[in-house]
Amino acid sequence: MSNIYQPDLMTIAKVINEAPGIKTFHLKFQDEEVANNFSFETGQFGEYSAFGAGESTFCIASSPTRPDHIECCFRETGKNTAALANLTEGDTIGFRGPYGNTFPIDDWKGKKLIFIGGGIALPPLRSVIWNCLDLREQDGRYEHISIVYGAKSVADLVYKREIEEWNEMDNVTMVKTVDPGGETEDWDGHVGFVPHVLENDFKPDPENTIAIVCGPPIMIKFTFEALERLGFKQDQMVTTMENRMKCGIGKCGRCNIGSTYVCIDGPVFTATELAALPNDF
Amino acid sequence: MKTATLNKSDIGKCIDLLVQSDLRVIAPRLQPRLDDEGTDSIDVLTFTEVDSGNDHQVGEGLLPLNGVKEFLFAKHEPLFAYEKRGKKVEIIPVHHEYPQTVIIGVRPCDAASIASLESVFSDANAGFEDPFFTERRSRTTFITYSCTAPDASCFCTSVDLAPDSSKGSDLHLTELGDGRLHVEVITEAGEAVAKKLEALLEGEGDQAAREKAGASVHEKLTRLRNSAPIMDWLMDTANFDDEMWQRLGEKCIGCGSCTFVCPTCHCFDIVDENKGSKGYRVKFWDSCQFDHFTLHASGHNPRDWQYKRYRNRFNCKFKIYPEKFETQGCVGCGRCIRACPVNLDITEYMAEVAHKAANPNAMKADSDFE
Amino acid sequence: MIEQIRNQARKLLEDGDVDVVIGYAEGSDPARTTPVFIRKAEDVDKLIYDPRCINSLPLYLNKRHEYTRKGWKKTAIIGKGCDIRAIVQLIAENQLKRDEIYILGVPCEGQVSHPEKWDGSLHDGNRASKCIGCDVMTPHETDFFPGDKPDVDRSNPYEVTSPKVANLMELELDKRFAFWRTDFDRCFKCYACREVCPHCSCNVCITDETTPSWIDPAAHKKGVFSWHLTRAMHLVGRCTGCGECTRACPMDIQVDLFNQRMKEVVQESYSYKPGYSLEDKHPLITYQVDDREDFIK
Repeated sequence: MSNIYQPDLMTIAKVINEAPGIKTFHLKFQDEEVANNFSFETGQFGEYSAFGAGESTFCIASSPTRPDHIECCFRETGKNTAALANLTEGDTIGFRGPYGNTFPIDDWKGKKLIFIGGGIALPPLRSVIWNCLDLREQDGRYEHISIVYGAKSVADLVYKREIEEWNEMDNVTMVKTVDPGGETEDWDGHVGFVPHVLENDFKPDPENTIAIVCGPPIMIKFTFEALERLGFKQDQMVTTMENRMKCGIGKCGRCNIGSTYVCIDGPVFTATELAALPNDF
Repeated sequence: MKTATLNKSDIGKCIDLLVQSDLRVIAPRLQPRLDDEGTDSIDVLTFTEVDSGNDHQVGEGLLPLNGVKEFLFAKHEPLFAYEKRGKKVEIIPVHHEYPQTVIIGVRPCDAASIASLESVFSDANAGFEDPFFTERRSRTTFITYSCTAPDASCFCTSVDLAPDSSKGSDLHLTELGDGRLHVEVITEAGEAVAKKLEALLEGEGDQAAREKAGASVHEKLTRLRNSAPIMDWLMDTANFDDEMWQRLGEKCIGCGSCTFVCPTCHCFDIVDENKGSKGYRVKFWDSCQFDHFTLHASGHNPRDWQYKRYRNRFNCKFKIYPEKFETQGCVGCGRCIRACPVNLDITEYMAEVAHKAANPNAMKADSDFE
Repeated sequence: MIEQIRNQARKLLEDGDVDVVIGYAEGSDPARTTPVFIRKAEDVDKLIYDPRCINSLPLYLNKRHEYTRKGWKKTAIIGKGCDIRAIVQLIAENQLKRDEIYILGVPCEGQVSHPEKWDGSLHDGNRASKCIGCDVMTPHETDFFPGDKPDVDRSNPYEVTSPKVANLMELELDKRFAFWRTDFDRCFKCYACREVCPHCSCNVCITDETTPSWIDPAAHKKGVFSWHLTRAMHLVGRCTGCGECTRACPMDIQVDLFNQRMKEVVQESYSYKPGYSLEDKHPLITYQVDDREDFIK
């Protein structure tokens, strides 16, 4: 019987400093058999640990279409993330996963996609953005992809290089914004909170479109409301939730919203599903 | 089903026989006391390991304070050890074999909770099987004992159980009132234990007397609640914001007692315990009543006030367990009522919900929290 | 007597002098009482007082239970002597302001230790041991007291502690340790002892700190011992002897024996008993030039 609480060992292949306090790790499994057997789908998350500190829950920020390594992106906020942030290339971390449900990207074939995110919430979207972009390159399955992303300031933007890459791509609209006061002199994007920019500047057409939103609970709430005012129906809006987690596998009883466990029934939910949940998040 | 008779006075000998056949035996026992305990000492009854039949309280008293949860879902469990050497880490399994165990004197409410814990920790839950729980569960046999004297806090009959229920039992004992016990072999594991006790078992028992004796205890319960409408009322998410939660939960101090003594509460935490470059990753009991249980690293806390945390507990017992895990959340053992230092009473919540469910259009209670 | 309390409570609420009256009401079974928060004058008849009222209510004034105090500007609270000691200590420690609290003192002849011992009256067979030798049966600091307050000599610096402390101290060290190992085997770190304590008021308890993790939260021997010993040390010179920690423990562990022993040590060293004076500074956080130093080796 396998020990479901025991992680696999991974080596940090690369560390990227994304923004103040925010890092990306590129990770490879140390055991070849584990590496060969590992697969995941976009939207899933894992429990990453620095041994001696404890486990933290992050999404898998890389796309399944690029399986050479997996990535996570996190902000240093407490004991576990501080311990991870202290590690460098070559160090070993523990990984348990992949857990959770997935973005239903097959259901989105033939549709236009808008990804809306704020701050440290870009990593879960990034996984599905690259997944969709890669699949579209193969078979042109998504009509158009837009990305609306903002952060508190220019320095706080995550995946800065990729924002520029997406900006250059055909059939991708990149709308970047910073909060009022966060702009620099040479900033060429919008200035304003993400839901505000979405509703007043970008104004997407809801026709045949799916909106995928990620951010803190308050931002999800405001963004959904803005999308509804723009004419989006609840089943056209998808998000990925977060909650404090420990086991990630539905046993420790911590991440529930009513009877829904974010770790096994989520983290991906449609706005319809969210509306049916009690006011517990 | 095989049945037999056992003399109640032979229980000590039963324990001796089980110990002698190399089984680990757990039975209710009174804790030893200091001399001159003073007027405010009370009996402390807990399930502990016994090495002979000389000192046990099987069939006496009521509910041991600890229940059987800690023998299946350990209070703290090392998951594995690790050792860091430079950039490398070695994971060292710490598994040691759990001994074959018999727990004797388990009351029906505690026995009914076993299925609930199984529904969380087995692979029936999202396909993940907790190996620690599974090993302990598979190596434990339960000899259960019908109740004869429920106290004012017991309410098993209000949650579809009974003081003589054999749910969850491997071998079930019921007093017949004349110094004899009616023995029922419920499972194969019970059969294996009965075989070890052959010398003390005789005859075929007395089914009619057993049923009569068992039924006569049902009416002794004084705490009666209608639990039928509760789940549906909780399923209506509008009721999640009802004023009753804050009104009833205001005095809750978040001590967590209720969750730790509850046979079906299963929340746990995982931390690394370090000593230099070595350590253990440990799983241990946690409580949804603690103020930081759902605290995000960002500082956001979905359950920031205590009454919200107790609301979650009530929901877990009467909605999450039956809806998600399809087992019973509350077994009516009454431990949370006895343990609560401020007399927060889950059956008061039950009564309030039943009242609201029956009077959906009534004027809202004149609450301080409108 | 309770009628006078109810009348005063009614008056305070009607005049708007207090936002809430904290007291005792009938519990969910005949042997128990429960804390109640009365906000409307017409509800004061719920207030009761008898030997079943062993709960210490000042824990709700402690900032750890801040959510309960939300919006209260001035609070009236029913207090028997030991509860008022806790309130006085909270004020002396600057956790409360005297003018935030209106103390409705009640006379007390003792409380019944456990609901299962209640048989209709208080007597020597069910009196809690904390009540024996109590010198605040007529409470010392009140804003209202039904009837006359007789003078009580409270100058004795020694509080009566439980005979169980003396029993334990007579045991040899290894037997004493064995006693605690057996009792602590039952502890599962529920922290009920902390939550009922009026003086455990740290916003983030030391055991909940993670950076660093001072005390292992798990309920193994190290985690259990380190918690209880730390708490005992944090309460030295501050514990006012309400005994709630032991009463609240769901596994009936006599955790307050540590506090009682530490009280004896504080009495011997400083002749100090907390909770009697609003101005007293407790000896472990103040320095006087003439402090004894002969026990510092």
